[in-house]
Amino acid sequence: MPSEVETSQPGRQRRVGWLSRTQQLLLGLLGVIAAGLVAGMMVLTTNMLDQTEVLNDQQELTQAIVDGNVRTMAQVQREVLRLDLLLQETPLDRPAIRLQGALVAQRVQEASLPHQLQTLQSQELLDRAQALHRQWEEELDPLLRTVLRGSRSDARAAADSLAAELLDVELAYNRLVSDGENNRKAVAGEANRESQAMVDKAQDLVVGLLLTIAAIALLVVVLGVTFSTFHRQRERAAQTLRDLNTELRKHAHVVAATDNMVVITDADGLVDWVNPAFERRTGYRLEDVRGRTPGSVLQHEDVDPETTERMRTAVREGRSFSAEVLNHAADGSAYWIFLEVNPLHDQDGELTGFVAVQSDITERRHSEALLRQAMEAAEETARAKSNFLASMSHEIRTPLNAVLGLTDLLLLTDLDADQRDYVRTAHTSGRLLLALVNDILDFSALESGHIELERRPVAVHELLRDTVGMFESEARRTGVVLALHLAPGLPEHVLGDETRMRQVMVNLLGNAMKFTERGSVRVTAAVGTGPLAGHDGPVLELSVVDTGPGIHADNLDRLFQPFTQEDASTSRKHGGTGLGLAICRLIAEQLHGTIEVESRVGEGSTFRVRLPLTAATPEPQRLRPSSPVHSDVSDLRVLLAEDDEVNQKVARHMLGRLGITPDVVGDGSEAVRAVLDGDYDVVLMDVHMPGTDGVEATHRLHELLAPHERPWIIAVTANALDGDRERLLSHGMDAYLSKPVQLDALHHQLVLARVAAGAPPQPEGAPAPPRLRATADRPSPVPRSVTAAAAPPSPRRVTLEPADPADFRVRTGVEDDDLYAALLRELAASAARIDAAHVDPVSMRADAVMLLSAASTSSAPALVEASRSLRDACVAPLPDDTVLAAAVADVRAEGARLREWVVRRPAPV
Amino acid sequence: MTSITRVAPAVMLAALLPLTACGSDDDTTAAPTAGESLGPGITRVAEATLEAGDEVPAPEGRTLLTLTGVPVTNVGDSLALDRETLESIGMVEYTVDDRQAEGRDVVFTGPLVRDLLAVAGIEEGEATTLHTVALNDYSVDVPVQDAYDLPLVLAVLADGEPMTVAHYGPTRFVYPTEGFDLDPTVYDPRWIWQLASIDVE
Repeated sequence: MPSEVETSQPGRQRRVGWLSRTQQLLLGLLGVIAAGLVAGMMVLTTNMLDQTEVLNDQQELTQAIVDGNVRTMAQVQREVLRLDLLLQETPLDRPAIRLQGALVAQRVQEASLPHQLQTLQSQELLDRAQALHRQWEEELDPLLRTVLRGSRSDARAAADSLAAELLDVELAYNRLVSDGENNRKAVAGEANRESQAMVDKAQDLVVGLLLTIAAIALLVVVLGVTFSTFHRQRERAAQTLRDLNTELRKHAHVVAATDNMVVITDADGLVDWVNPAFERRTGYRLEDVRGRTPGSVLQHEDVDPETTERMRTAVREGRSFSAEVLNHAADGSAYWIFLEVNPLHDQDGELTGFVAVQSDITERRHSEALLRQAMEAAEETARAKSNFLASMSHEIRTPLNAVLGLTDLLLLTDLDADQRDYVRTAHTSGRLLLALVNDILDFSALESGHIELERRPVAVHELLRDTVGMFESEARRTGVVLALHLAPGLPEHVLGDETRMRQVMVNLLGNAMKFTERGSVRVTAAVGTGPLAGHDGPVLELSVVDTGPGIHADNLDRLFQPFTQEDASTSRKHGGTGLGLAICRLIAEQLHGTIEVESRVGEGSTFRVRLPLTAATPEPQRLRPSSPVHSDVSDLRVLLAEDDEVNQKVARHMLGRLGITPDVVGDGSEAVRAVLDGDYDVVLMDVHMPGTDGVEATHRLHELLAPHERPWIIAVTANALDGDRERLLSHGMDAYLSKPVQLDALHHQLVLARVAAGAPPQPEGAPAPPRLRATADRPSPVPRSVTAAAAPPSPRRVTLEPADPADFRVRTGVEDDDLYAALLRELAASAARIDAAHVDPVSMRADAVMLLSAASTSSAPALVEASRSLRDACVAPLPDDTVLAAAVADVRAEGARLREWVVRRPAPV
Repeated sequence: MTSITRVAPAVMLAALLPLTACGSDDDTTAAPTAGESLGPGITRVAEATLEAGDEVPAPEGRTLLTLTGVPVTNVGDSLALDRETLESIGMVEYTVDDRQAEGRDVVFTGPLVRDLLAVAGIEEGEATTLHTVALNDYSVDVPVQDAYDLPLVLAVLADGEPMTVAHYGPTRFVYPTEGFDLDPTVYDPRWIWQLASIDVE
């Protein structure tokens, strides 16, 4: 759940209710226009107020003109003149004069009214009118009375005076009228100007009005555009809302329909909402849980406090989290949920709550528990099987060890021909049994994946030549053509596990030789290109092609399965354990390769191994504890800790062969006591002993003794499962021998022990005899191979030099040619001592091993090959006297060549 | 004519009004004619003793106003009216702002012109124009309809006194200055004073 709910359609504009840029512009424009309009209206209003004021002024002015009564002034003149005329008549018409006098009085009074200010437009003129009124009443009216009432003569005189005064009065009114008229004109002019101003203002007003109207029109247009824009936006917003609504409905459907429980809480983790699935599963309704934390309602007391605390912390910090929690429903039933909680954030990133999705995983938890139990049971079974095998291996190999060891020794005694034959047969049978047990163990180890394969440069050319060489004598004997073809471009060295590769090739070639009675067996090695699972690069293809009887197609599938052979008769006819090809398949698979077979009955078979090919450069010679120049270990003080009496006897005799008389103890605690009491260089420690076993005893020795006080502890065990060696070494054992202990391996280990125990320093870098070491470390594939036959002298060996002084110098750093010659003379003498008298293979083999060791040390390649062949011939499960004799002859011949080389040795280099 | 004493309470008077529509002849100065509505500030101060259809006697005093063009005549083909006759037509009075003549507020008293016309035998709608002439021969035409639409008064008294020629007499046409909102430019010229004769057309 994302922090915001707007999700599923990224890139789609979801912000509703905000203004677009256009709309902002439009609104701005509207504002400007509205402001303009207001300003225009204000201007207009001010203008109109001015206008009204002007109009008012003008109205007052024109009202004055309207109200003014010029006629009154003219009437005064008229009545005065008419009175004047009446006064000049003789005789005086007194009634007419009376009436006319009254008319004059009325006009004079009327002309002096304040009202006349409107006519005269000047206070000064009104003052003059009022002065004239006073003059009439004070001076002229008394005269008029006299005219009307006095004696004839008085009246005449008064009439004359009155007439004279009336002329002045008439003149005064005449001027008053003129002046008043001038004033009225001025007022009218003023009114006219006001009118003009008004007209001007009216024009401004019209302009202002037009502008206002234009602004209003613009306003209407912009409003229209704005409205339509807003309308469109509202439409869009409405559409978005509809879409959102649809989406929301979908979401709501999902939330309502899902069987997952959905809980929404506020930021404090208090329930705000739950979906129907929640109510169904828990039995709580929304109102039951609202405002409470889900945990307080649902969480089972069995939830571990760590999970609870983790969830609390996550809620407090507003983080997402998920957990598996045990809840209980309203009815008390417990159920497991998987809980996924995500925080919800608003647009400002503020935490607003959490959404929790919970799925019921009760059934899953149940299945998981069942699966776990099943797995534990299976593992237990596997462990039991493994232990059973290890135990069987121990139980079988211990007595077998005794049988082989004792028959070995028995052959060293004087026996007549029949006895020797019986003993040899018994010995051979024991070896076959051992091979079978070893094969079973090997297969078991490979199948269980306990084998750690090496990945080192392997001299593949040499390996194949060696392997083919092993079968050359057999080929000669049977007349089958044995050929090796190394394709051009095949690297000299490839990365791999030499031992395992050799094991496979020996097995395949042995099978081919075994089943092919005529024709040929061809080994080819080539660089292939075909794809290999998990590997794109080049492929090493090793094929063994025979012209044997072939295998029926129906049986091809079973061929690589354990304990199957083509048919039951095969076993009787050819022997074998039925494990060889199964082991080959497992090895090929462990090497990330394949093994396959093509076959036609009557034509032959082709076995092909395909391995990932990685070319390698050869490793520099590894520095190893040197093999002593003389391998005498008789000065070592050895303690043998071994519970089994037979084994004790064998071991004692074997040690005796090496010139050692060991002290013997029966269990670990005795061994510890003996070590503390005595002074031993080496302890041969059987791992499995009653009471204190070898491992525990070793621990004790480590606790009790400082490293320099401690003897060299060699573990001896029949528990030959690979991995034991490393385990034992990790327990403080110094070395390891697997039962049945071979004399050469024992010898080799003692040599190493003497070096480690501080024997005189030996030249560094002397290689341990490779096969010797391999034999010591683990059962050699060669003796185990049921088909392996000792290799006769190989023609190519002839090309080897008897001695390689340069190699010796480089390897040992010893520059003394005379010493080297002395060594070689001794070596040649040793070779000469090998003779047919020593037909007993065991002692012969010991001699061969020692010769091999010495030859290696002395850089005598030809003799190394010869003595190795002799040793292999000795350990062949079905010793072949002719082969053995040939090997002995070979060794002696090489010894002679070496002596000859020493005599005629090249000038010092 | 039934005579009714004024002891009756006002309520009873109101109830009897339909029966006494013509009012009382022997009380000439007091109660206004029942049902008459003259306008604000206008009071009837004298009931008519001379009514339409009555013979108008020839003037005994000085003639204040002469009507011509009317059916009722008393001197030749004109109707000459002295103060007594004019006052017998019945009088009303009201105050006007006489700033154009006396320069102050004046209470004018006189018969309504429509009553005068009725006495002279003119019914509403029978005449159109009053051609008025002043002592000094000033003349102005007044529409007859003014007499029927407005309380147009032929003033014979100003502030209760007869008006001399010097004070715009002996008769004047007076229009109300309150309550009728009359346009001065139209009505001011019709305030004819020193009125001497009217030719009715």
